[in-house]
Amino acid sequence: MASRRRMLLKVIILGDSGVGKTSLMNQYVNKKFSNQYKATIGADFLTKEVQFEDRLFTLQIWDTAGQERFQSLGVAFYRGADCCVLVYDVNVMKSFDDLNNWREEFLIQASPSDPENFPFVVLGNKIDVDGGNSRVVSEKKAKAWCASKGNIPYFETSAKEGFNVEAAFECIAKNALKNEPEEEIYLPDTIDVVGGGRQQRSSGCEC
Amino acid sequence: MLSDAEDEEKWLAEGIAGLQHNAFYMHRALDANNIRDALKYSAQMLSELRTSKLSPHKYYELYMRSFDELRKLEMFFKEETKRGCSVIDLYELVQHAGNILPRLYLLCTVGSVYIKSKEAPAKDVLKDLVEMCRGIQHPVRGLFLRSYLAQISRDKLPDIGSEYEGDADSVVDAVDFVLQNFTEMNKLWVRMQHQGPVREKEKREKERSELRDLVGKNLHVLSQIEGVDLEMYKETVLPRVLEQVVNCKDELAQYYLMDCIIQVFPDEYHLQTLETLLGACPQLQPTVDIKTVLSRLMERLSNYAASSTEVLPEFLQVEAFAKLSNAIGKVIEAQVDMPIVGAISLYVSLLTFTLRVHSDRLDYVDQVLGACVKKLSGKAKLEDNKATKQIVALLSAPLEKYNDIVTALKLSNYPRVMDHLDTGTNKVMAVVIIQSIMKNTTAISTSDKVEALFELMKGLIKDMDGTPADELDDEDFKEEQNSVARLIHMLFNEDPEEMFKIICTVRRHILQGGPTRLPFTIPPLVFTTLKLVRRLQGQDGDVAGEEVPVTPKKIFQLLHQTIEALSSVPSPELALRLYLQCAEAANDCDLEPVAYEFFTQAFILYEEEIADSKAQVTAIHLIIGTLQRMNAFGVENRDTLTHKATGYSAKLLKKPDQCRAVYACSHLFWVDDQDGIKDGERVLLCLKRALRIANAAQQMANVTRGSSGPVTLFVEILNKYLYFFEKGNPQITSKAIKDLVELIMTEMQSDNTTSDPSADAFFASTLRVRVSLSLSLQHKRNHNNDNRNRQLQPQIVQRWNRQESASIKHSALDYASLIRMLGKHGMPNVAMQLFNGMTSASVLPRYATLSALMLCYADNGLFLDAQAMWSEIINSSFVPEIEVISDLMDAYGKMGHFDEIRRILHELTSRDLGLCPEVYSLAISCFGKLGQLEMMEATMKEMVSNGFKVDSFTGNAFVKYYSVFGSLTGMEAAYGRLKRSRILIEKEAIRAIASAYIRQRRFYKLGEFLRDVGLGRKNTGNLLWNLLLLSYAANFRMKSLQREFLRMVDAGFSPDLNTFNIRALAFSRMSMFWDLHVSIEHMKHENVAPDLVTYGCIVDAYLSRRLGRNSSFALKKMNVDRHPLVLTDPIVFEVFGKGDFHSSSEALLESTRQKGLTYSKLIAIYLKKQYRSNQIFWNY
Ligand SMILES: Nc1nc2c(ncn2[C@@H]2O[C@H](COP(=O)(O)OP(=O)(O)OP(=O)(O)O)[C@@H](O)[C@H]2O)c(=O)[nH]1
Ligand SMILES: [Mg+2]
Repeated sequence: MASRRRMLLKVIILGDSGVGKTSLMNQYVNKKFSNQYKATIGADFLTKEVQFEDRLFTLQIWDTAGQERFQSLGVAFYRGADCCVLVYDVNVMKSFDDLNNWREEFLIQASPSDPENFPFVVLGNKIDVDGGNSRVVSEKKAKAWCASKGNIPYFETSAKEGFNVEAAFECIAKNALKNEPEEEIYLPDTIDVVGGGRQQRSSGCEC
Repeated sequence: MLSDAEDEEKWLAEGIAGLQHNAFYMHRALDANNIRDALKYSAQMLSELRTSKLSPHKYYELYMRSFDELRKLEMFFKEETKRGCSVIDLYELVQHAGNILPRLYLLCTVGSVYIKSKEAPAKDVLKDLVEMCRGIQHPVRGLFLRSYLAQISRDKLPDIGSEYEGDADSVVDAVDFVLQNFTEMNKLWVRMQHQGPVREKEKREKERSELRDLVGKNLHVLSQIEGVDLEMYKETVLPRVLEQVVNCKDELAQYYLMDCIIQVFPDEYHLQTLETLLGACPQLQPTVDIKTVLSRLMERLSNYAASSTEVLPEFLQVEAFAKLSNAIGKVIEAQVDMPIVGAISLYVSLLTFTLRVHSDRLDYVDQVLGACVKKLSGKAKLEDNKATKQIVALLSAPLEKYNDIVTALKLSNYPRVMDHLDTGTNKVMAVVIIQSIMKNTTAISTSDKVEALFELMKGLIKDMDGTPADELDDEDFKEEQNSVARLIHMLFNEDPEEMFKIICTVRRHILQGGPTRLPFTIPPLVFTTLKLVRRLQGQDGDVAGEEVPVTPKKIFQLLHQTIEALSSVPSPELALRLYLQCAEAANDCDLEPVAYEFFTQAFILYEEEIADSKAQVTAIHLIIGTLQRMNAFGVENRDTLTHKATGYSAKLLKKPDQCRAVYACSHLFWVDDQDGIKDGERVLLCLKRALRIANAAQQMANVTRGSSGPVTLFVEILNKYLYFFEKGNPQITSKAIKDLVELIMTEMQSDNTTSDPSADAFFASTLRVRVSLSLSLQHKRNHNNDNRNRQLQPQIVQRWNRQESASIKHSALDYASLIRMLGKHGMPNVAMQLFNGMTSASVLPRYATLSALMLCYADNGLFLDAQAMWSEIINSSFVPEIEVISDLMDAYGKMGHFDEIRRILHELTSRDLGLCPEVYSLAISCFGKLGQLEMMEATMKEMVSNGFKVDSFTGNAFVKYYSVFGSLTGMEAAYGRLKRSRILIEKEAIRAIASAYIRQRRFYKLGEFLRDVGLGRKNTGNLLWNLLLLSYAANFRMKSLQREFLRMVDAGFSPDLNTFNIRALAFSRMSMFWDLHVSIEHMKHENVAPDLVTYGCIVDAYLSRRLGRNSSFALKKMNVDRHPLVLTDPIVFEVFGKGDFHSSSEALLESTRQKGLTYSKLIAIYLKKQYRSNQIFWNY
């Protein structure tokens, strides 16, 4: 059963509206890109099979609405995430400034047990725009931020050109896999549900 | 009794428990490949979703958990089919589940596998599923079930290019499926409004609102279908969606779904279907907020237009402007009850659209403004705050777009819109206009434009509607008038004729401003005019032939009249200044009579209008200063004016003022130019007169106060003597200077006859003046050098001697303190002379003198000399004091001479002076302070290996410096050593360690450290607990923060200001208003007075959510009349930074020395600032 659970890796993509979350997911999963902007409503996932050291995993990639008014039901789907991808647009300063909020919001809502080590990956998207002439967030600045948040891996991508998308998601998958799953362990007829969680996992009684 | 929310929590917990229980057995069954049990337990698990007790939010939580479990089941089904189990059989099997809701969830899950297996066409399975879901008519359950269906079918639609694509009409099937699901969901959603009791209407509306994304989601899915091209969108998708929207007749649904349509479908589609989309608007319920919908549509389209110039032809082709303008007209017409603000904001959106898409069409822009005027006409001036804000936005948009008021001035409707603003907003708008001009440094270069512009900003220029200016807010008023002043400074035209016209235009306008404005507007006008004069200055007065051009003369006439207008204020001091400026300009134009006339005016004002003695002092100094720079005057005029100036100087009220003005007059007779007047005799006369006055002042002081006359006046006069002496005035002799110096000495001596403690300091500073005087003399006058110096140096010593014996009885100090003082002021050579003088006078130098001289050398970087002194000390019988060693080490350290420190250390430790531990400790601190960790480490090792015990102070310092300068590992190791040495870590080191962790944002580690130190420790006050709370607050671990806070209180610590502020900061940043309030209440209860930081938490929290007005709710619990203070531990700011309110208030507190500032004033200023910046940088 443990193996079945581990075969599914849950990834959440967050970032301001229009930074290219949906485009990145579509490029990675369907190898498609459209210039048209179609806002995402609510949360939505696509899956993709990935191979890793001769094992197959299903990556469940949750794309979310960057516009707050299209997130009316809240973020219960953060639960059980294995990795969180933070996306910004290298041509829009605000989208970079907002990363901190997205990260904090995620940590609060998902409340992973070890927030300091929860895997994040940051993507600076749309590097193709105007041949890079309109970019306002330098790679250095982005990397410095990532370093300050506990060395978050950082990728510069273009969903349009498909540049670095594959590599980024490979890293995302790898980090998701590294994340210790922290499901609450349910033992029927015992009362201690929360407190004993850790020990029980290491003793392997769920297998 | 439980509250609703608690009830819900309980039910959710029960639901989750039931779900987990069944999931556990389901997992087991899955592991055992037991399909029956798997189905049984999964169905039981899904039964939890049958609840109707949960709000959508909580239900969603339960749903998500079920959803995750179903993914495992789905995987299992997939594996089963691979193992040979028929998916059709599975599809049948799950239909036996007893309850309909679990059954349908299971069916959808198997359905997903079914489609994937491709054993049946996707469209058939989907059709089957979407029909079956009709079985659930409960709105919440039905919506979630259908959203589950939408979710699992998302990647299995028979879209073109998809692996599930079917026959020719495949896309139609896909679209039909989604549309059907959408329609059903919308019906469930709308119906919900009409179910249940009326009194729960509000709650229901809230719940419906939460559920909206489930419905809207379908539109997103539609937009993602590849096969939905423009054709299909136009023919099928949009009409059918709109039909559903229009027919449901539900306000919430209509508003939301229109918004969705606009956001999820691409811009090209909207452009090509504008008519259809806009056509739906008038059919919506009258209560629907169509203006927001339309604004968003226009905003989208504007962004689209801005994205690339290639798309612009599309806009023209579909006549987007006309259609939108038309639709807006209709909506405004149809919705009679729409408040005016709604209509205006629609125009703002349309204008934004126009500016982005058709920026070349000023006629369109004017048309929009015209439509707005039409709407406004016949109505009284706007009082509605929101509406006026919108108008400001409307009027600001063209300014921002064209970066140029000149373009806006061409819009005929622009001033007409402005006329509809109330006085206040009119002013705000005028300020916006000025700021736009400033920002873009727009040249307003013709008098016509200036006329139009000043007409536009008349709200700032004169009183409107009879509101006299003095009733208005003083600060606002000043700021407005200052911006008018800045504007006046900016007006410019190359051509003097046109510039003169501009000046006349401005003058005409500002003269209407009345006494309150003139003091602000006349000076910039005068200066601008003087600039024009300067330009003409090179040219000759009259150019023959041409018709009378502007001449300086003509301009000076105008200036004269302009300044005269100030008499109505009246503002004689300002007028006097301006007259003097004009006089100077006239002087530079070589217009002697004009300059004389201006001086005359200045003197008239002085005589007739300026009565205040302080003002007189300032005025006379201005007059003297200006007069000094005049060179156009002939002897006669000049004599008249200087005579008057000296005369008035001597008639000032206070003696010291008289004295200073008179000696200033000396410069009138000695102009330091090549051919300036140099009347040495009259200079001397002035100075002597000044001396007489100073004498008189001295005597008067003696009579009235008994002692302590104004010796400074003499020193000042001495300064003048020295100046003229240096300039080579033959009347000033060195004898005169010497006499004056003697006089001052005597005066000072008599000063000190009273043993006033303040006399000591006074004398020292005077001495310093003397010493530096002597040095500057020595420097400037080489020939006199030896003489003078030889005279001065013994005098200093003599004076000092007398002083010593007179007021300080213990002579042990001898010259040491004087030498230290000289060293601190960078005069080591004087100190040396003094010292040499002492030795030659065979006064035996004491140890204190020696060490003072040594430190004096070291402080001034004379290390060789310092070293010599050191050797002398250490080789004599003196035992150096620990303070001296410390100072010496510091002096070396500051210069980076670490080896010297080591040398001193070894010289001291190799002699057994009984000082070793202290000296080691000193060196350790000294190295540590400078970040020399390796040397600190080595010294520590040496100390320990020489058998000295490390005391608590040194041990703690050691840890502290590792924390400040070292790595975290280094720091942790140092702390470990401290513990092993059984030295208790003290406050300072704890703070340093905490600070290091905070710098690296290792809050978890910080917590561990604090626990290790021991939270029970009482002798550090609240420090440990507060830091612990800070570590949680930093990460916004709100639950832990709360838990630890309670523990802290339980452990018997009473929370202090820091404790409360740490919590408040976290609450504030998280916008947790409720907790913030409770915390403030708690504070009050504990009698902990809030500080600036606390207030900042409230102000920032409310403002960040744009709830500025509401902050008074929280603030009313606090005393806002106190004087603002920051009492919070600065370490807190290392984590949170300083809040916006805090930092801006701090800046204010520093910059103004206002005594009466209170929190309420600070908040008012801050809110106003925010409000203003919002208005000015209007962003829509
Ligand atoms: N040039 C360029 N455009 C991109 C890139 N990625 C996305 N876009 C465009 O950016 C716009 C927004 O992309 P989306 O993927 O819809 O953005 P999103 O983050 O999902 O936005 P929300 O759903 O509103 O949160 C679309 O017009 C895309 O075509 C990229 O790498 N390069
Ligand atoms: Mg999206």
